[in-house]
Amino acid sequence: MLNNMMVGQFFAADSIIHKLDPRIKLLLTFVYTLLMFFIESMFIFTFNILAIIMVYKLARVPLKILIKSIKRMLPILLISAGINIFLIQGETVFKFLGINITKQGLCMVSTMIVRIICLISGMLLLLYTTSPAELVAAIEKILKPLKIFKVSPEEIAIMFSIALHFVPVLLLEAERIMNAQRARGAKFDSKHLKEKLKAYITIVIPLLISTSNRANDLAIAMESRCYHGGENRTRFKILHYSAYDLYALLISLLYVLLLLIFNKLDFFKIVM
Amino acid sequence: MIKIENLDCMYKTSNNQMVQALKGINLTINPGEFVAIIGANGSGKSTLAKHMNGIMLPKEGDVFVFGKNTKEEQNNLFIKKSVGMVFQNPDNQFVTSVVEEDIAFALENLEIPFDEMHERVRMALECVGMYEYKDASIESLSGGQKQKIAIAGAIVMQPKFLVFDEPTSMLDPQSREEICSLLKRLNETMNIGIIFITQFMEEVALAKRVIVMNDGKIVKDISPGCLFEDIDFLESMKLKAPQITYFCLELNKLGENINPGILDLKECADELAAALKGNKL
Ligand SMILES: Nc1ncnc2c1ncn2[C@@H]1O[C@H](COP(=O)(O)OP(=O)(O)OP(=O)(O)O)[C@@H](O)[C@H]1O
Ligand SMILES: [Mg+2]
Repeated sequence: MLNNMMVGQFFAADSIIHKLDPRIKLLLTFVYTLLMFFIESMFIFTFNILAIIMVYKLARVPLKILIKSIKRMLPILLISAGINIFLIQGETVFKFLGINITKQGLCMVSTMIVRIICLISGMLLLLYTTSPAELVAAIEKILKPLKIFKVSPEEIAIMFSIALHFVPVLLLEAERIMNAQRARGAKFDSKHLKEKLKAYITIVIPLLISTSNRANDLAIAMESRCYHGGENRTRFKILHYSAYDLYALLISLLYVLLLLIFNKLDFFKIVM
Repeated sequence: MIKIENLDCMYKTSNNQMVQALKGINLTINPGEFVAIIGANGSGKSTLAKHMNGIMLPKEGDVFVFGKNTKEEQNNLFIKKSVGMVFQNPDNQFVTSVVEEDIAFALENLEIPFDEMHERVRMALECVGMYEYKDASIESLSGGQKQKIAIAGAIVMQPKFLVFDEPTSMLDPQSREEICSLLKRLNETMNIGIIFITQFMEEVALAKRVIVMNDGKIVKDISPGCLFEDIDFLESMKLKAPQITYFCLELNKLGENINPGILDLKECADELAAALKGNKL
């Protein structure tokens, strides 16, 4: 089963983190994301990574899954790092292809990579430990105020759940179409930008058609299963806060304060 | 009971031409029946199926489910709940990625209370033999397993009929067999009426009654055994009999007296063995 796991899919386990109310988890993930943008020191990031590993252990989600997901995003990370590293001015450390690599550049890029890894790990933890139905129920509750503007939070929540389910399906589909077009001579790996662009356009149209067919099928399937709009539905998951949620809030609050204080104190900022 | 009277259906194609997909269909399906529908591509099978639970509403003619007309808005939920549907591509039938949550979807829509909902989801999963996968991610399942989940998602409504539109055409032979025996079990033990559209002639043998469609019309309504004997008719409909029927017919040509209406492998073997013994004596 692990092999087939897609990036960011719910991982069922019996853990405290799974039991937390999804609203709390959404809130904490949001705060955590903000926090990561305030932190600059490599030392604190390292500390944060240790904390994340602990929380993953607590959630009984194997780190293997996380590492696999991060590996998949590595190419994008490295490309953006590669671009950045050449652009930053400062003290030259060494030369590469005739371009100066600076101390500041290295420093900035390594911080950026670690920050993104921290961000991804946090968001994935939310997805691993919260089932779609819980997530949907939480989003619905949070969006309740939108009712004033005649926007249906139930419908947005269902749309979100469907999107979450179909993203991996469509990714696989894109890959399939890409292979089919490659067999017909599309040059995805071409060095010429124009050829490359042309090749990618050949995926777009088949993908749009197949997506629209899928949407059509899904609409019929939903209707067959008595879907009649977002109103008047009961829920498979009912949300209620427990004492754990309070502990989680308190511990997280302490953690945020701790990191912010560390971040203020200069002596933790190691000099590279 | 599903009762279809004088049903016509027209589609408008993209270049503004009209295609008549159904022409004057009259059909009654009784509770607990196992009916197969076959026919060449484009003969109107899917269109007919979509009329059975009110996904498509007739412009000409009427469809009644237990006496309630599908055209009347207030019957909508009753009809959807009484006639479940399972489609060809398992991937396009799920609204979420966790097995038990997807199965609960119909019950959420029907406003079933919490405890009953969980109980019914459990029963539906046990019925298709997938209870151990209740927390699994749907993506991680095989095609056959996905189709079982789709079936569970329909039987959780406790329907009186289930319509299957080529549910096995994307599956490997082993999964296909599993789905077929599941359908048989649903029909025999739970007495759910099954309407089974398929392109696989071996699967038609599961049914007690076969409806052959051609060009929007029902051209035959007969038992599988009798249908397959008439190979010329089948081929004129761009269909074929199962291998076993051809085999029996070939044997008959060789002068053996084997009933070509036999569809069961074992039965055929028995008759053949008996005939062989007769030759030896
Ligand atoms: N949405 C549509 N728009 C226009 N024409 C359609 C549409 N759906 C079906 N048709 C036409 O209606 C006729 C019957 O189609 P239908 O899908 O019911 O056939 P089918 O027996 O299910 O075929 P298949 O074996 O390919 O599934 C065909 O001629 C088809 O081209
Ligand atoms: Mg069809």
